[in-house]
Amino acid sequence: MTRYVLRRLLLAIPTLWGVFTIIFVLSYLMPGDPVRAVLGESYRRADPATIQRVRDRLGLDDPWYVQYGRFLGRVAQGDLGTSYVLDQPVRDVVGYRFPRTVQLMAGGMLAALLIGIPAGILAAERQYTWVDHTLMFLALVGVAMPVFWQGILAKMFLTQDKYGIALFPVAGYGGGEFIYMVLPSLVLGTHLSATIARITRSSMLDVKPQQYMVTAAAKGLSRWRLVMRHQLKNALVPVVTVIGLDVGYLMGGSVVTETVFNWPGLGRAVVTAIMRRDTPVILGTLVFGAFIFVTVNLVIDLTYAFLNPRIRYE
Amino acid sequence: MARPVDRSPMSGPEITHSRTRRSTARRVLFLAVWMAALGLLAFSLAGPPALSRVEAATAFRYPIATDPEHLDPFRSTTVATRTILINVYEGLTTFDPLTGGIKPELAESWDISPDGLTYTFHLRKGVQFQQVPGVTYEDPNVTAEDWIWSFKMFLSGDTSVSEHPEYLEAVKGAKAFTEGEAGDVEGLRALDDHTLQITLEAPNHRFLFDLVNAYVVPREAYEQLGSRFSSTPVGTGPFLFREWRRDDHITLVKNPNYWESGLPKLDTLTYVNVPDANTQLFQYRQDELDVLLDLPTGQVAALRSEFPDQYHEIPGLNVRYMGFKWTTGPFKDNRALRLAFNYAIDKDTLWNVLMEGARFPATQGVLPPAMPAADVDGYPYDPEKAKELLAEAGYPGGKGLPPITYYYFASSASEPYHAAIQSMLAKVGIPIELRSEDNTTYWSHIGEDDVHLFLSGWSADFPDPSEVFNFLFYKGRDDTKYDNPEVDAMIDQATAMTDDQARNALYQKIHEQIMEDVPWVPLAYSKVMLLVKPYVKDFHLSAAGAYRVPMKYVSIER
Repeated sequence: MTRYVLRRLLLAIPTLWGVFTIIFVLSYLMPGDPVRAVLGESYRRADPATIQRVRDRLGLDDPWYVQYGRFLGRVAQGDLGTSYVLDQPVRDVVGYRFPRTVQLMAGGMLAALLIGIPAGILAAERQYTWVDHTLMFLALVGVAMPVFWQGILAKMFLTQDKYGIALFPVAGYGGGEFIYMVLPSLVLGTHLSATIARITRSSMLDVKPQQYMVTAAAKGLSRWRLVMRHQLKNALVPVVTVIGLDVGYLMGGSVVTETVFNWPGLGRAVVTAIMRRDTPVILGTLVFGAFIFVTVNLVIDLTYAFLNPRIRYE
Repeated sequence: MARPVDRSPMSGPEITHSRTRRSTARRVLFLAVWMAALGLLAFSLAGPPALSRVEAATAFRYPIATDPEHLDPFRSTTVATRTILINVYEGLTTFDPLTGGIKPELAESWDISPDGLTYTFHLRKGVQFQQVPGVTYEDPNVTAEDWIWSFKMFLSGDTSVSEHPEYLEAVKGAKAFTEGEAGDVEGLRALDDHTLQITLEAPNHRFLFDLVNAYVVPREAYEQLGSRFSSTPVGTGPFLFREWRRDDHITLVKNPNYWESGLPKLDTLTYVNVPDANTQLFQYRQDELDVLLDLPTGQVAALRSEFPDQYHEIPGLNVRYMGFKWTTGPFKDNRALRLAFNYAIDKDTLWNVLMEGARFPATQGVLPPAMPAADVDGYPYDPEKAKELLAEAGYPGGKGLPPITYYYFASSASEPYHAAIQSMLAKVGIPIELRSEDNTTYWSHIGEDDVHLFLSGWSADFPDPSEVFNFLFYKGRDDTKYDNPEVDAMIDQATAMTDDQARNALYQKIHEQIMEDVPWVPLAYSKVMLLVKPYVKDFHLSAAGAYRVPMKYVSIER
């Protein structure tokens, strides 16, 4: 097990280096002048001498290999650099926003599980009835509807006296209060909950005819125990796989959700940084994101061993 | 609880391992604890609730579309940073929100020498720097020396300190100081604690306007706050900085020691970051915001009828135009072609019909109508004349015309008039291609030689023609690269004129010459449009934009 972990960790190094290089090349080739963003509306008022002084300070006229070397050297030391525009180290940009994104992702995941698993169980239990058909239709709608559209609908009908019932605040972080988390979590979790519902349903149906299920039923177990302890537990392995794969989706979806609900998370920071050509923030957050993604994948692979002892890493 | 039969090794998938059932339970437990811990960690890192409900109930809630980049008075200012800074910092002069003219702020009065070179400012007495945690003053009173220190900071050539030498570049010796050739600024002198004398390199009628943005900053705050200085503004203004949650909100509170007694009237002023105009509207409808500054495109007419008593508008200081590349491409040296474009476009339909009156059609020249010298003849809609001019330009019926691409920026893409412009031009025989680019790419691109026709705009800070002429028609500074030496010379001459009437007469002449040269299609002049809740009093609109509204006079009376 230890050897497996070590090998995976070593393999992560070339993976990350490749990702960092791609990120660097893309941001280097991106059109547009960062000085323009640094000086904002002052750009067209600034005299050329000031513009040149800013270019020099940021090292924008250095050749690409000097900039690439500087970037890799910094990353190797764990230094993500300083934003051109925000006057803030990228470490602080990430440190402030990442917990909020995790909070949103955790909320989305929780909403997805709370909706998806019961829906999947119910659909499997009532296979081919109107319950099953309705739930699976809704799941299809949930998968098909884009996040921003759901966000607008949710805001329209759940926050406005004019169109519906104002149950929740329109948008914002609200200092992390629970009520502010509900709508963004629901919107972020809907897509995933639909996937989970469908996987849970089919997996439950796969397990149902197994011999041990028949045995358990023959022992006279209650329906509840039979479904919850014997059927569901065994049906969960593919669901966990889907959850693991969809962490990446949650990260992507949180970018849109954060924008729609004014959530001060990492995704919005990246989008703003790209608009402003704030290269250090773009590079720093993407490097951090790549690092997290690689780590999460490793953790998920190890989690399989916990859930299913038949899988062994030797 | 479980019945014995349930514990049989047959109950799980791990049929052959007797130990595995227990360890599976442990694994599931471990996972659950791990996930709970991660969740808790996220919550605790995210910090405690920042805005209590009680505070929210008494705060004025002001939407900002963009979170400020920083709050450093010496660094670059965008509308986002300025919106906050002008409530915390103050200059010698300020804009009068009602007239757009200049009025005294921290200078009580000033004398100007007859040659227009020496300004003597008599400083207001009893003005103190704000008392905030982490900053201690030997003497909190603002003196002439504090102004000199601040101005030298603005003029610093080190762009990690200041990016704004242009505010004070008119001062004698400023350029030498910025470029490191002199250790001191020759034109700045403290005659005594409350008298500041500034000498200029040459007479400059814009100087009092430029001083609006050159604030006095306490040296103690700069030195003692260190790296926190750029996110913790400390000045002399009506509001104290309280907190900034990035991408979320900024809270300012009343400065109890403000020099103007009885002001500010608000206890708390909260800037809420709302990037999306529709979300802003939803929040305004639910009383989560006290003003609405971004009216969503396509809903202007609907909102005017939904909120007839809350809708306000005044003419703004922004001009939107189509620029012709002056130095290369088909428009170079072809005045008739440029004129044909001007006569082919029906601005009234664009702005009053398609855009529901979101802007005023540009029926005059290149200056917003609120400025002196703005009244010149525009180019009316006349497709027949456009066809004649096209023939005169050498392209009868559009024959032989090289392909023309019209560039516009992405944030204008939601505005439906580009396709209309295309079809209006097609009607007189000019086919154009439309191309939109994201904002940062766009503004760097249109200055290049491959762009011959583009959309642009300019916001003047104050109603003076120099705000447009000196930046867009002077020595090729605009992306059109328009340059007429005769116009350059007249602009130089006008900038140095201290007599308002004579200067404005010269501006009229400059304006007429520019219209004669046809470097643009002037498209529209802006409107400042907003919704204000009926319980908000003294929200004086400013032509320079809603962000210029002096918040110290505003009160809430429910």
